[in-house]
Order: sequence, then structure tokens, then C-alpha cells
Amino acid sequence: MSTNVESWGDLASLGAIYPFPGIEWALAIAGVAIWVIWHIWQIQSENSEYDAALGRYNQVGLDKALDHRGRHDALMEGN
Amino acid sequence: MSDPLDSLVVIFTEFYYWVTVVMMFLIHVGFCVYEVGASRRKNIQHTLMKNTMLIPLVTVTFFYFGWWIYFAFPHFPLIGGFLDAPWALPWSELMGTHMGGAVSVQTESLTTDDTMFWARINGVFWAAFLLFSWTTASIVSGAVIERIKTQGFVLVAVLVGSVTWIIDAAWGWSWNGWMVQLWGYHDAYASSVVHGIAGGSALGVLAVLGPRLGKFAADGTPRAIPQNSPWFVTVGLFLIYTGFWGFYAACNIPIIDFTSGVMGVEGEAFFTATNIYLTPTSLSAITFNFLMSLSGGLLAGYLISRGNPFWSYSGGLAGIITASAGNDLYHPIEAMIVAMVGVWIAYKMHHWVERKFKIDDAVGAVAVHGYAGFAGTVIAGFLLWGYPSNVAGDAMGWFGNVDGVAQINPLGQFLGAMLMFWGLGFIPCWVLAKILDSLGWLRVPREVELAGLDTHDYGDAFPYHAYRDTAMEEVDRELAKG
Repeated sequence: MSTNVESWGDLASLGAIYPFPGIEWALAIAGVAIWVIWHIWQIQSENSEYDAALGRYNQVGLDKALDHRGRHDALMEGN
Repeated sequence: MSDPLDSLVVIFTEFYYWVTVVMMFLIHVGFCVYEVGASRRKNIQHTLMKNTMLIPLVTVTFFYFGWWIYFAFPHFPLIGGFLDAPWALPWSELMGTHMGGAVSVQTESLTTDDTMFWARINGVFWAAFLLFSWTTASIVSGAVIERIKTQGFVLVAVLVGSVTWIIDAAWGWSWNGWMVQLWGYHDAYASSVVHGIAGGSALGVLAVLGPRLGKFAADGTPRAIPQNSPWFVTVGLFLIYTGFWGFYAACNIPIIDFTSGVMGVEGEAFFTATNIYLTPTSLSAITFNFLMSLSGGLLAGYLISRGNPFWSYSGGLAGIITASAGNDLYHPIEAMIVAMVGVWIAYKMHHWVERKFKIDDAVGAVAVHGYAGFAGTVIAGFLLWGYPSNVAGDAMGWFGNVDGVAQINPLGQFLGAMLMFWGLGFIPCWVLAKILDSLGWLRVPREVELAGLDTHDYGDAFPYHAYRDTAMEEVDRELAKG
């Protein structure tokens, strides 16, 4: 393990004290990648939910969806 | 750190900003509570999660590039190029746990003293600015509730929270920003730097997004869509007031030797608080003015709305926002009067824009933040006309100088308000909203909006409470037919 710290005896000489100093570039790239991937996943997930909701509304009719006023569980059970 | 006085100043400053950050968290709590209260029952959870998710997304992007923009952009594009800011790059050792010793990559712009300073201050100073970023993005959130897709909103939030607002902060809310140095721009507590740009951004998105279904009758008359909980709305605004107090403190530098550093003022050491322009003020002064402008706003909001809770509370907020540009220098009664004027402008503008342009701003965000912030910035130009805008200028102002630096003046303030509301607020968000709309990422499908945005995933927010129809349910039924 690379901690960059062998003693707390001379604080004035210490710089970065997080583990694995020197990999900041790699961490930054990984962080940006996680951010971008999150957006891609979220866009796909949210749009698929809307598609599913639209499919259900087309099946049962929008009037019935309005009857349930956001109670999607009841709508899906056909109540 | 070995010098006792220097160490005390730095560690006190570190603690001071940490406290302000915790206080400012209440702004976001308030916005979430407020938006939940303003949403109809069928949209509550979508509204909540949309605003909540801007927290992590703006935070990580502000770490990746927002913080660097603040330090790199002050001179761009009118005085010079980008400045070197090695402590703010996402791969800098100083963007992490650091004891202030040597850094691996030393640059000319990073002295040993700088390293010691940023090792202690970077995280809390970054967080203080980050909380402003959340606020700026969250202001947009309220305006667009009940019809925007989360995917579209969070991308707008990243643009506003981690790019455009921090550019305006670099230009106009920094001692060496070109707007300050050349225009004499002064906006101590962010009338336009935060609120004007946020209002303009919200308006840019609203212009593309369109009104909620049923908001306007066939003849164009706006309908009042009932809030799910006026109590939540007012509690939310109370929380925003509280956090806003922390915001005011966070806008100050708590202790600085006025004769040292970039200020170059000669004489014996003199310790004081300053605003972000390094010109003197005090916590005591801004506490006077915060409370007097809040009071002026509440008084005016109550009168003009005839005691309507939503507009009375919003008036309190708009009052503070209007006076904020000059609240480091105003007399408290001046702050109160300025606040009252701003509330009158915001209230009248909201209803005029709504009727004239069919803009559905669900919580009055464009008015409370945008119009009030714009008005407050311009008013400050007249009331503070002739004050030195900073103490460390190295350029001559375009609209008059005093003591060798640009003076605060009405034209500089007006141009600054225009640049922030329209140039960095409305236009970038309008362009992004157009792109999002063309991709189908902006607005939820019509049927989902009518049935409720919670329908598809969350279910009823109050499953044990009976539903009660309002006139809007009948409107929804009519719209569902065709």
C-alpha cells in the first residue's frame, strides 16, 4: 500500500496524506466517467419509465389513469 | 503552520466558512420543502427528486471544473487570458487532504505560503461557492416543476451551477474580475451574480418548455393552480431565509489584515472583515441590513398581495435579494426602502409577463430572483455611485475612477445586470433547452403530465389520505379528451 506517510512526527514536511498520491489524474478521469455514465443511464431509465406509462395509459385509457390520480400500483393491478 | 497569528487567522477562517456551509444547506432544504408544497399531489415526489439530484451532480462537476473556472476566468475575455490556478484543478493535490507541505507539481503561481493557505482553506472555500451553485441551480428548479423531465433539468442544473454562474462570479464577484476592474461593478451579496442569472436562466428554460397543461384558459387567462400545501411553501421560505443569513456571512472574508497582500494599503496592521471585493464591511453591518431588507420585503409583499402568504413570504426573499447588491454599504433604512421597491417591481413584472408572454413560472422564481435581482443591481449603481469598487485595481475603469480604481456607477451596474440576466442566464439556458427539446429530453409526455409525474414510478405521496378534487382536475379531464 502507498500511503506517502511513514510518521506523524514531522507534520510540517507532509503534503498530501490520502492513499495512493500520484494517481490524481486517474481519479479525475474515473470521476468524470462516472458522471457521464450516470447521465446516460438516467436518461435511458427515465425514458423507459415514461414509455411504459404511456403504454399502460393507451391500454386502459387516459380517463382511467386520471381516476387513479398517481396511484400507479392500483392502475397496474387493474383496480 | 508555525506563526501563531497566521495560524489563528487561517484556522478561524476555515472554521468560519465551514459554519456558513452548514447554514447554507438550509437553503436547499427550504427549496425542496417549498417546491413540494407548491406541486400538486400527483407530482410531489418527482418534484422532490429532481431538485435533490442536482446536489450530487452540481457537486461533482463543481469539483471537476467549476472551481477552476472561478480562479482562471477573472480576466477573460477583456483584460487577459486564463489565469493559472493550480490549487483548483481536479487533479491537484490541494483538492484533497493535505498538510501544507510540498506539492509534487510546483508552479510559479503557487508559493510555499499559498500551499499552506490552500491546504487549509480549499475545501471550505470550495464548499461555500458550491452551495451558491446549488442555490443558483435550485432557483431554476422551482420555476419548471410539474412538466420537465429530470434528465433535462439536471443538465440545465450542471450548466447553471458549474459553468455559467461561476463565470459570472469570476467576472463580477471577484476582486480582480474584469467587470469590477473596468465597469466598477459591485454586487456584494449577489443580487445579479446569483439571483439575476438564475432568474434569467429560468426564463430561458421556461420560454422553450412552455406552461403546464391547463395553466392558461383558451382565452389566455392564467389559472391559479392550487398548491398542495401553502404551509409547506411558507416553511420552505422560512428555511431559505435562515440559510440566506449563512449565505451573507459566506460572502464575506471574515478576517484580513487590510494593509497586507494584494490590497497594498500602507499603514499599521488593521484587521477587518471584507466583502468578496476586499473592500471593508462587517458582520454587524450586514446583519442590520439583512434583517431590515427582509422586513421591507415582507411589509411590501403583504401590502401589495393583500396578505397572501405566498407573495408575502416571497416578498421577504425578494426584498433581501433586491438590497443585496449594496447591503455591505447601505444604511439599514435605505436597505428597507430598496427592498420595498424591488418587491413592487417583482410582483408587477411577474403578473405582466405571465399575461403578456404566457410564461408559467410556477413559483415566481423569475420575479423573486431575476427581476428583483436585476432591479437591485441597478439601484445600487445610483445609491453607491462614486464609491471605489475595489482596492487593488490594475486597470482604469471605463465609467469613472476614484482613488485609482473604477468607481461604482449606474451604467456599469446596468450593463452588469444585463450581462448576467440575459447574456449568461437567459441565452445559454434557452440554447440548451432547445437542444434538449429537440432530443426529447426536456418535457414529459402529455399523458404522463395529465396523469401525474409520480404515476409512472413513485405512486401516491399520501397513500393513506383521501383525494379531494379541485377545479384543476376538471381541467385535466377536458384536456385528456383531446
